[in-house]
Amino acid sequence: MKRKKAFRFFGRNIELFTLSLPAVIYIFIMSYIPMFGVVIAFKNYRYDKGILGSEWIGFKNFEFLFKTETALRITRNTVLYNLGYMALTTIAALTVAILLNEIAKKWLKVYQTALILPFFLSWVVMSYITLAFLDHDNGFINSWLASAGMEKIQWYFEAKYWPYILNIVHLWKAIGFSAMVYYAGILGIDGELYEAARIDGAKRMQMVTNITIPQLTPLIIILLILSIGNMFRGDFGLHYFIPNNNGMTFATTDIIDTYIYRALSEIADVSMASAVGLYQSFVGFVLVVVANFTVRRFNEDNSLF
Amino acid sequence: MNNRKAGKFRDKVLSRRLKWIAVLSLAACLTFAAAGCTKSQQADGDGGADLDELIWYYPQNKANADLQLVNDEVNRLIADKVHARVKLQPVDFANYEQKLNTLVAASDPMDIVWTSNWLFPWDANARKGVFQPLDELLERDGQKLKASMSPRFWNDGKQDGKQLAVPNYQIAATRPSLIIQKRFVDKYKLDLGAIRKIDDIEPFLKQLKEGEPGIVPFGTTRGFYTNHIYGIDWRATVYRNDAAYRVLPDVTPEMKQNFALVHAWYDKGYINQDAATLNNVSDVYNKGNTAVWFDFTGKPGSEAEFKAGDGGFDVVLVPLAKPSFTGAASSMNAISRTSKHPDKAMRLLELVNTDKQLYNTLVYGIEGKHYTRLDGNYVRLNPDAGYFTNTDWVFGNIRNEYLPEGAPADKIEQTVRINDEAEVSPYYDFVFRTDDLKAELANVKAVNDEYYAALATGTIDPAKYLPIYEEKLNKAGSERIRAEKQKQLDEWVEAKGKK
Repeated sequence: MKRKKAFRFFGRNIELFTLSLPAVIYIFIMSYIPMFGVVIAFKNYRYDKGILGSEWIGFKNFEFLFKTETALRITRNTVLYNLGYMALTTIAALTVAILLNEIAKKWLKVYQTALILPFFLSWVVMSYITLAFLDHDNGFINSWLASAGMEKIQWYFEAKYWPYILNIVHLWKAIGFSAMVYYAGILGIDGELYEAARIDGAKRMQMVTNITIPQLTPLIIILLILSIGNMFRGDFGLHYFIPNNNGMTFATTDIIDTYIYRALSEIADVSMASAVGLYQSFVGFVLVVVANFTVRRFNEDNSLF
Repeated sequence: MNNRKAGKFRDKVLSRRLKWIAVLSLAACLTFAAAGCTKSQQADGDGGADLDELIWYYPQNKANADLQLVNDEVNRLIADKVHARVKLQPVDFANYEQKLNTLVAASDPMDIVWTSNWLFPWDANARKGVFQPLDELLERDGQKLKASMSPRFWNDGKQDGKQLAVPNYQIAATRPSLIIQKRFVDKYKLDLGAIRKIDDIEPFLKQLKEGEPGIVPFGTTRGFYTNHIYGIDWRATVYRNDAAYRVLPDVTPEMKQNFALVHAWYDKGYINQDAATLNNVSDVYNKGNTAVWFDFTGKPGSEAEFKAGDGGFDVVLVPLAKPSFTGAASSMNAISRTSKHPDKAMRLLELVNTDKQLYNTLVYGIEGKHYTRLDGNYVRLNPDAGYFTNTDWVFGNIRNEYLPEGAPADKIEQTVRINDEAEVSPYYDFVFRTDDLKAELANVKAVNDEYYAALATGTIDPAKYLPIYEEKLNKAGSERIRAEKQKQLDEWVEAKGKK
């Protein structure tokens, strides 16, 4: 009986299933088949012996991450930065999306384009733009400081400024795309709700707090749950290129990904690198499940699964 | 009844739609596959007729516009002797290790791979099975190559008794030296003979700071501390003549002294401000405004190479220590495990190391186009002609080379003499096995990445940061590494019967 039901469900939705087929195949080939490779994390991998032929060494490859004194620091940096990015981007993008909805359609395209442009730049390009601002001798900021009679600052040598710089740079790059997602969400809200509110004499601000935000809540929560899964995975490009991989700022810029890259780039040990990757994925998976569970406890409709 | 009919009809429409979707996605798949096909066909199709192709990866300073011309010339020279074509695959120094690590991990086909003890480290890669053993190949296809070097050189390409790499005969000793622009030496009548240790240069730096605005008196990237100039054996980090064979910690008293000196220089403005953040060694001198810098190798003939790199200013070389034999592992070519024609690769390596015309084509390009012959063994190079490597030591035996203008006439003789005379470390065949220390080594490296450059360039105050650096090193496991090294060294000493 049950199987019959499943078939009927499939039959009724065959168009949707077919539409999603390329994506399903893609994910199966690119994400599920390679998953077999996680065994490398438990082996002393040698190219000539291959994945199956290499020797098993248990959890030895994981030791290196937990033996280090900096484990705490890089974990803290990764988690805190990701929380910061999440909160800042969500709030800022939501605000921008609501404002975009309010402004005249004539200027909409200009704002959209200007906002989303940085999203398409690579971190390497972004790092040169940041350098143009922060360079010691020729940077904009130091030139302004100098012309205002203030002392120049060695931005790339001082750890304490970087939490602000990184958050700003990240926001600058991410805000365009997130704002577009929320703007699309706003466009999907039933216009009759606003009409009814207007007839009842609601002010603009009231419409935002009572219609727009509650209607967007499921979208916001889905995006948040998804980004919680990446909490242990920092943005390598951002943290590597923007501070110029400079030792003196590691206290506040170093995250798990950049640390691993530096520590293993010379040893080039595939097994140790995949051990870290597996660890990050595992923690991310647990976080997604926990976050989803928590959301479901409060409101079942808003949870992802 | 009606329902069923309607269902059938719907199914028909659907299946027709489905077919379309299937056809479309199939077409898309085929396009991708076809793109793949044409690419690989192209790679096979161009160039000579049905000769096997050998792929050779090696590092270079920059891309050369005429690489293909030189590659064709090389193919012409080797066609009859090796019965193969070669595909030269230069990669710039900064990306070489990363790119090769990726290629190797992907089991990409390649035949000859350049490797060394400082870039794309050969012993770690050999242990991971990247190279194939060459002993039989050398017997069969490389007798002439084998005879061209003494066992002292060959030994450096061996691991566990197997020959895994072919050393390039070049300077195999280091002689830490100061490089000084000649115009300032002449102007301030600097007595070069009086400079014996690094501290002796300080008065000169002071003169430069006061008399030469716009000139950086002393340039460095990420510091210049080296055990050689402080009487410490480079291989075992033991004081030379230490009868107790005590392995020194990472931070030696000499290092502290060096860092303090450099910090004083930094404060006085002798050192370039961006020293701690520069990445390439050549960043120090390539603007031509640095008066003095430090060179770890100090090889004969490097005056000409520096002149080519610093905007054309003549330099003099002032050695600060006796040369020590550091081995031939600083530049080697190995045959990859993925090579389909190891015998031909070996024949090519032999030819590169023994054929003067082939070697000079690789180093200097095509005669008349990229360089011109002068009197004797000299050539005049044109860095802008489309092929300029400035790296004779990457390809093979430098004894076969023409001398670039400006190199001392006895460059080769000097190199051979220094190699023969250089002090061989008494610990020469001591090999530190680090398989069980991977975690510690990775973490120590991370600490060094954070602090070393800033300390060694004098950017931060060692009085405050050296203790922090030492403590972090300790926590990362540097003491465990030292203890293990001591243990292995003691065993080695005992086995040698030295105690």
